[in-house]
Amino acid sequence: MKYFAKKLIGLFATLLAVSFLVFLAFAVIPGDPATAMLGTQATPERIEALREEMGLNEPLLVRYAAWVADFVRGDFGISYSYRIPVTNMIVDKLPVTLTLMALSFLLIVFVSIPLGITCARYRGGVLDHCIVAANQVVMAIPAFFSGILITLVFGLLLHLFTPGGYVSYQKDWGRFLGYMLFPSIAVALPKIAMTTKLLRASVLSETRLDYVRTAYSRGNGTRAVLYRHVLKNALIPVVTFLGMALADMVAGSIIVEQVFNIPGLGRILLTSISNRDYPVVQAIIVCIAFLVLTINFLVDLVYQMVDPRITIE
Amino acid sequence: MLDVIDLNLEFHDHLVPETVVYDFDLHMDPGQIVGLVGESGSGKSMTALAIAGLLSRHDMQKRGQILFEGTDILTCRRSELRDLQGDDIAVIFQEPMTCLNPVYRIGRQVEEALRIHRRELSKEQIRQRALQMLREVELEDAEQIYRAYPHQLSGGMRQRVMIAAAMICDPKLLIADEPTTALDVTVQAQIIKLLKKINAEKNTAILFISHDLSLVRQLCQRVVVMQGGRIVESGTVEEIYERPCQAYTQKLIAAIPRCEKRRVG
Amino acid sequence: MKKKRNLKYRIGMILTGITVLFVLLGFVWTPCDPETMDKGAKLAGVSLSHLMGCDQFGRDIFSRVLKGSGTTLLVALGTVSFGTFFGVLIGAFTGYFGGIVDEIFMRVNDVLFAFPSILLGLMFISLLGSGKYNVIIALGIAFIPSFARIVRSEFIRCKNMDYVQSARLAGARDLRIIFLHILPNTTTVLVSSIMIGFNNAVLAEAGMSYLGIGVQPPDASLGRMLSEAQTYLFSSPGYAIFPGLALILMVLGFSLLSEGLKED
Repeated sequence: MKYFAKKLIGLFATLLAVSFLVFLAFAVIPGDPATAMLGTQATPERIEALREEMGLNEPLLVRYAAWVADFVRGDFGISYSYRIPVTNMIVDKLPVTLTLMALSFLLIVFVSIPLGITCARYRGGVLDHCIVAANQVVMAIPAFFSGILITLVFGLLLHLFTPGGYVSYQKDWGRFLGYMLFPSIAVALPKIAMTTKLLRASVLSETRLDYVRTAYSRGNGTRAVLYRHVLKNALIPVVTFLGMALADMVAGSIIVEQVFNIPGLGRILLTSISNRDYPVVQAIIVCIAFLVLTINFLVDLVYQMVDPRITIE
Repeated sequence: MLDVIDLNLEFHDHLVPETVVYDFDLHMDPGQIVGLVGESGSGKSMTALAIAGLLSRHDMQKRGQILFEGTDILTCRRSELRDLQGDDIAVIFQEPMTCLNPVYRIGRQVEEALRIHRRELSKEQIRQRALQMLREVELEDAEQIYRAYPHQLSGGMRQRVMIAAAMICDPKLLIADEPTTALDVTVQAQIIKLLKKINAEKNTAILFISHDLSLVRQLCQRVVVMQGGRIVESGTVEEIYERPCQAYTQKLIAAIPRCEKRRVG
Repeated sequence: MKKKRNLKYRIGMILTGITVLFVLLGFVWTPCDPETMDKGAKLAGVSLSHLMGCDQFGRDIFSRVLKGSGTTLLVALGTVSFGTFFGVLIGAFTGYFGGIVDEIFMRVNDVLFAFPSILLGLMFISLLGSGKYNVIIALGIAFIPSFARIVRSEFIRCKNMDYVQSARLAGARDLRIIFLHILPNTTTVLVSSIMIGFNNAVLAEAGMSYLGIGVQPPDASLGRMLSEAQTYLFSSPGYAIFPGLALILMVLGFSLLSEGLKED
C-alpha cells in the first residue's frame, strides 16, 4: 500500500512536470494568441483588451497556475480557430482513440502469447522459422502502410468493411467496433511481431531453468509446463515491453486514424497543428501524456502482480 | 521394484557422440535406500535423471532398460511416463533456490502433484493435505509457509518444501539428486534425518545421489560407486566402507574428513 | 581476419546495399524528371517507360521513389546525428559530473521519455512549422532523451573504472577523459542504439510526411506519396505499394543489419 501511494505521488509529480514543460514550450513560441484569435487587422486596443481578458499580461507562473487549475476542473481553454471550449472538442473523441488502443492491445495479447509460446515449443522447426521470418518483415512495416494494405485487401478486394465508412459509437456500438477492428489490426501488427519475438526468446531462456525440470518431475506435460509454469515467468520482461508499446501505440493510433478516416484525437491534433491552434494542441498533448503516464503506472502495478519478488522496497 | 538393466546414455549434441553412462545396472527393492556415489562428471546425475524420466528424448541416445514395476521408462508412452512422474516416482534436486518456481506461492507448488494425479480430491482436501505435508517435513507455521513465495524462505526451508512437494502423493521411489550439497552442514544433517524418517514411516525407497560418502554412510543400506560413467564397485555400506576393493573408492573414503563444505556441481 | 557473418547480417547488408545504391543513383540520375507532369500518363500502370507507373499528375513513380527514399534517408541521418550529438553531450556531462545538474536533467529526461518520440516530434513541428529541416530538428530533439539516457548510464558505469582512474592520476583533464578515454568505450552500445534510432527516425519521418506535417513539396517523400496514393488505391494500387515497399526495404535491411551485428 505504501508502495502504491509512493508510485501515485510520483505519477502526479511527473504529470505536473509534463504539463509545465508543455506549457513552457507553448508560452515561449513567437506569436501572440490574442492576435491569432482576432486576426492581424484588429486594432491594438482590442488586442490589448483581449490580452487583459485572457490574462496574458500576468507572469508566466501565475498563468501556469491558472491553466492547471482550469485543467483540473476540466476546462481546457478556448480553441483559437473554432472559438469553442477545447473540452467539448476532445471529450467525445477520446473514447474513439481509447477503443482503438484497447482493441489493438487485446489483439497483441491474444495473438502474440500463443504465437510466442508455439515458436519456443517447436524451436528450430519449420513453423518456428516461418513465424520468425514473418516477424522480421512485419516489424519493418510502418503501421500506416499496413493500414493501407488492409484497406486494399480487406476493404476494396474482399469487401469485409467499407473504407471510410466509419460509424460513430454514439450511433451504433456494434458497427463501430466492427469498423475499428481493421485499424486496430494495423496498429497491433508491428507490436504483435515484436512481442512474439520477445516472448519466444524469454520462454526459451526460462525453459533452461531448474524449476521447469521440477515441473516435469511432477507429471506435467509440455503444454502444462509452458502455460502454467513458464508463461508467468516469461511474461515479466514482456510486461515492461508492452508498457512501452502502449505508449508508442498512442502515436501509432494517431497515424492509423488518419489512414482509416476515423475522427479521433489524432484528427483534431493534426488539424490543430496545421491551424496553429495551440490551446487544442496543448490540451491533447497533455491528455496523451496523462494517458501514457497512467499506463506506465498500471504497468508497474501489473509488474508487481506478476513478479512477487519486487514488492514494497 | 526398480530394475535398471544395461543402461547406456549417449549425448548427440556434439559432433562426436559422447557416452556419459556405460552398462549401468541397478536393482532396488521397496523401502530400500541406495546411495549412488561418485565425483562430479561420473554420470550419477545423468543416471538419476534417466530413471526419473527427465532426460529429453531428442539429443540423447539411450540403450538398455529402466523397468519401474515392469514399465520401461525409456520406451513407454509419454502419457504413461507422466502418470508415474510425481505419483510413483518423485525427485528432489540439488538447488532448492532455483527448483521452485519463483512466481507462485509455496502452497500451489506443494499441491501440484496432487492436483495432477488425484483429480477426485476437492480443493479443501488438497489444501489440508499440503498443510499436513508441510508439517510432516517439520516446517513450523505451515499456514504461513503455504502462503509464502520461494524467495521468502531460507535454503533449508526450501529443500523441506521440495521434499513435501515430492512426497505428497506418497511415491514408491524418491530420487534425491544431491539434495544437501547446496546447504550448510547443520541443515544437511537435518535433511538426512528427515529423509530417514520418511523412509521409516512411509516405506519409500530412496535413491540418494551424492559425492559425499559420509552422508551416504549415515543414510544408505547399499552403495553404488561410479567413476567416468561406469560402476566401479557396489555392495552394502559395511562392505564398501570396511573393505573397499577399488583404489578409487579408497580415495573417496580417504577424502571424507576434508570434504564437509566442498561444493561440486 | 575474415569471419563468416550470420544470415541476418548478410541479408541486412544486401538489402541496405540495394537501398543505398538506389538512393545514390537517385541523387545523380533518375529515369524521368521526378517533377515533370505528363497529362497523358496520369495514373498509368507499370510499363517499360514507367517501371512503377505514374501518379495522378503523370509523374514517374520510380523516379519519385528514388528521390523520396533519398529525402527519407537524409532526414533520418540528420535526425540521428542531431539526436546523437546533443544526446552524447548531455549524457556524457551529466553522467561524468553527476550532482544537481545531472539530477535535474534526468528528471526532465524521464518526463520526456514518457512521450512517444513521434508525439514529441509533432509537438515541436507544431511550434516550428513543417518542412524538411524542421522535421530534422523536431525529431532530433525528440531523440535526444533516449541517447542521453544510454550515454549517461555508460559514463556512470565507466567513470570509476581503473583505466579512467589511471588517466586521472596521470593528470588528464576532465574533458580529455570524457572524450578520449570514456567516449570510445561507449561506442558498442552507442552504435546499436544509433541503428535502432535510425530505423525509428525513418518510420517517424515517413509517418509525419504521411500526415502532411513533415517534408513539404516540392521535396518528394515516401510518406507523402503514400498519403496521396491512398485516394487512388483501388484504381492504381501500385502507386501505394511501390513507395511502401521501398520504405520496408530500407527499414528491414537496417534492422536485420543491426540485429546481425549484435549477434556476432
